[in-house]
Amino acid sequence: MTVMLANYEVPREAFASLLTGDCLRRILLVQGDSGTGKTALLTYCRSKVPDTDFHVVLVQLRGVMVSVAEIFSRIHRVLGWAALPRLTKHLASLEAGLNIKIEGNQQEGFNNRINLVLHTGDNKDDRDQRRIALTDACFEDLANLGKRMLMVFDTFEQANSEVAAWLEGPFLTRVEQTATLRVMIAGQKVPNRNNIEWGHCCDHHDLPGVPEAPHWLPVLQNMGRHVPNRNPEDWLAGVCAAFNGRPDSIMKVIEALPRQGGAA
Amino acid sequence: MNDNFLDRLRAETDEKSRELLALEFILDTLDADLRPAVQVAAIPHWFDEEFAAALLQISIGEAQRIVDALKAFSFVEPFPGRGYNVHERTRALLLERLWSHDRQTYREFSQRAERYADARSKLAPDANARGAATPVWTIEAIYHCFMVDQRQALDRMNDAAWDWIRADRYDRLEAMARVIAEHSTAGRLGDEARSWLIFWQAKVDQAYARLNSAREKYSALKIDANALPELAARCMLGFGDVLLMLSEYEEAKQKFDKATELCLAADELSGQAHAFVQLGQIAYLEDRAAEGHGYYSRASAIYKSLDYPEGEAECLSGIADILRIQGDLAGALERLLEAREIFLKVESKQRCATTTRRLADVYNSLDKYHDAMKFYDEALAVFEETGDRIGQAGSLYGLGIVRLQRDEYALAQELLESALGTYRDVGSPLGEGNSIRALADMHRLRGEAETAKEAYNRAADVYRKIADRLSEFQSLIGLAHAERDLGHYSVARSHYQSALPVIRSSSDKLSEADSLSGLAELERLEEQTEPARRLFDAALAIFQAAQSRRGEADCRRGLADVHALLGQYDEALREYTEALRIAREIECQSCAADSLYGIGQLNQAQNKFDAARRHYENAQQIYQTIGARRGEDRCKTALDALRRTLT
Repeated sequence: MTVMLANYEVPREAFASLLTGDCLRRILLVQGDSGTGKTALLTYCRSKVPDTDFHVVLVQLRGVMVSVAEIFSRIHRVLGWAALPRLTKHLASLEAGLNIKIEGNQQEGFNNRINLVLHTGDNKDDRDQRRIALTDACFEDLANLGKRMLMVFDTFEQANSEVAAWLEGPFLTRVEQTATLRVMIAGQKVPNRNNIEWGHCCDHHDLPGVPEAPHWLPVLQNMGRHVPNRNPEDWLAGVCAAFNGRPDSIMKVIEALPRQGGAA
Repeated sequence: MNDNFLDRLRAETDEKSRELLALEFILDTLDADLRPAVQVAAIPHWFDEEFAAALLQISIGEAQRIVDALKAFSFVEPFPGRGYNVHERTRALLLERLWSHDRQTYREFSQRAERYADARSKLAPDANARGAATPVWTIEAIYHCFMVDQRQALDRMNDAAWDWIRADRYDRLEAMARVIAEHSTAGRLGDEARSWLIFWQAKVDQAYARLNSAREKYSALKIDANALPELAARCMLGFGDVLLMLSEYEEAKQKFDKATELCLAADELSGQAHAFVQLGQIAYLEDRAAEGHGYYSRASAIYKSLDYPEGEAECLSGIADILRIQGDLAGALERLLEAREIFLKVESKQRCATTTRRLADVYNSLDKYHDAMKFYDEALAVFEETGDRIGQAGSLYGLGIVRLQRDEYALAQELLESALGTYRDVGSPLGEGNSIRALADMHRLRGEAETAKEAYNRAADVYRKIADRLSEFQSLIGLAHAERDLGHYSVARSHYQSALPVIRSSSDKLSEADSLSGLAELERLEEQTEPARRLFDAALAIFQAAQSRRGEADCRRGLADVHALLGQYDEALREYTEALRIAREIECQSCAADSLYGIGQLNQAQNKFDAARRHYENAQQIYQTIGARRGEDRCKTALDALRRTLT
């Protein structure tokens, strides 16, 4: 899929740096209002990641179903059991400790197993300790991967309180200590970059929109559209100004324009 | 046409109108069958060909073609694991447009969405099972139901919310409240549904310790108690709970007083009992012990009539708090163990953790530090699991106090600063003041009297802001100790004399004993042996009655110092030895070092120089280990003087 993205060169460069081997700022935060093109930027960035060098996990926090268990599950889906020996071992030992029995088809899949481990029991071996234990085990595995890993989180502002606290706390703190890991988080709200534990290892960019018409001309061209007007750039500049450079609205207008040599 | 579009765009005065124009612009270009599909795709939060087929009542094949066409648009994005969704801003615009122009169609499509989501929710094994993921289809069905039948939707929302609160699954409540809030923001909810939604949002804020946000929500709710008696009572209780957590006792008391009336009118007996429990806690915090006892007894009677043992256990815990501050630690311990047993039996994790923390507080007061740490750790683990930040802060604070008692200053500082940060985050001034005061104690014990003074003053400022007079004067006692350590005896005396009457008029016996022993130490330093002895005796009696071993050791050491001043060496040695024995028993290193130093002085006075040197060196080593600079310097000076005497 061709990603239509206007400008945002600075965050694109920051993302390119994120992929370099000696990158010290391993956390990239991208903040912008709704419709400013965060998801388009993430999709563009994803398309630039060489699969030969990186495992990639994408997590859309929008909606209501993404829990910490789900994030572990996504990692497992990308890496498989073989790459996660410590996590697998910890999960099994926690299941045994909690007396969780795997019966028939009820225990289908990793997500269910993690969910059970994170939500069963109410004594000392509590949910949070188990979550931390699994987080530690998972990060030990990630530190020993043959190739690097990129985790991309979108719509952070919609993460539930539990997930947001986990990402902002235990997760990013461990990213700071894991050289093989790169993380990009986008949202209308993003984790507080002044965090004492991982703040020094993050790069933060605001997406203000793209109000300059010349940046939209290549998009127009790539989409095979044309402005039936004597001065397309002026016309586009008018549209950009009317929408304060907000990409989602400008894209709607471009999509409604006639195709080059035909109708819309 | 395009010039015309730009002119129209420029003519629009607000952003939303321009957005709508852009939307119309693109909808105008679509084929006749795709145009309504865009509108329908905006109804659910996500769609795939199955969902689209159910909504449009077409075949899966036909729906597949439409989904393929829709996903080519920039405002349609992939929704991992579920298919696709219309971008939130576009979706909001489309829904607003449909709500304004064709409410009947909106209702019809919502009904289809509700039926589909309900059917899907029934395919999940057991959405309410502990291990199950968030019941997304149930939440989606309730969301759509609001556009079909608000009364039914409200019942479904409230039933689900209570279920999830009972199961301690605030993540699910948060998820549901978040999606239903879309209807509220867009003005599609009636007054009753909107009020209930705000109530649930406030509950979620409360659960995740966003207290100021919860307070704003409760403040904004204006409920007619005649029309909605249950909600009015619930909100008043919730509001009171939040104000209590924010240490705003007077306002909280007003809310709970009002809540008891509303609960009575709404026949909400359990709510009324809860209000009594909270009023009991406020009375305890405001040092009105007898009143507090009365409230807990009233609450307990209601819980008994309701056959609700957890409630009775809650009352036992509250009464234990009162007994603890009155110095009846054995009574407090007995009730807390009974309450904990009940909570364990009924598997009430959160309440069990709160009781466990209170139990740890009592063990701490009894100087049983290992038991205290074990129970604080146990409570902390549960509070972390349930996301109860105030509970976490309380446990961290308790652990910090234990470390402080054990003279592990670096660990104490780390824990207390962590508690302080959390209390500040959640907006609990009482917790903030207590943490600052404990940090001041830590600085003072480490020999940093100036830093301690500054911190005591800061703590007193915080207490003044919340009109907590007792805690303010407890800070003044700390300040007096610090001034005394700095040799500012007249200032210290004045502080002790100001604080003592207030402390004495309260039920806080341990603070009274602390003040008396502090003043006694001052008298001793000024060589006023008789008043010093009298004051140490008075403090000792209180500490012994309260079974505070640490306090007893300190007083015995003080009395030994007085005997030594009077040349009563045998009596002095007996008291030092007893203080040392207690110090070793409770593993209080600074107490042990103080006693060893005293015995060293006693030996020196009796020309037993070798024994004196050994005791000074032992004391110095302990002071060094725990980082008590003042003690260390004192030993060094004594050892230097001893060497000079011997040469």
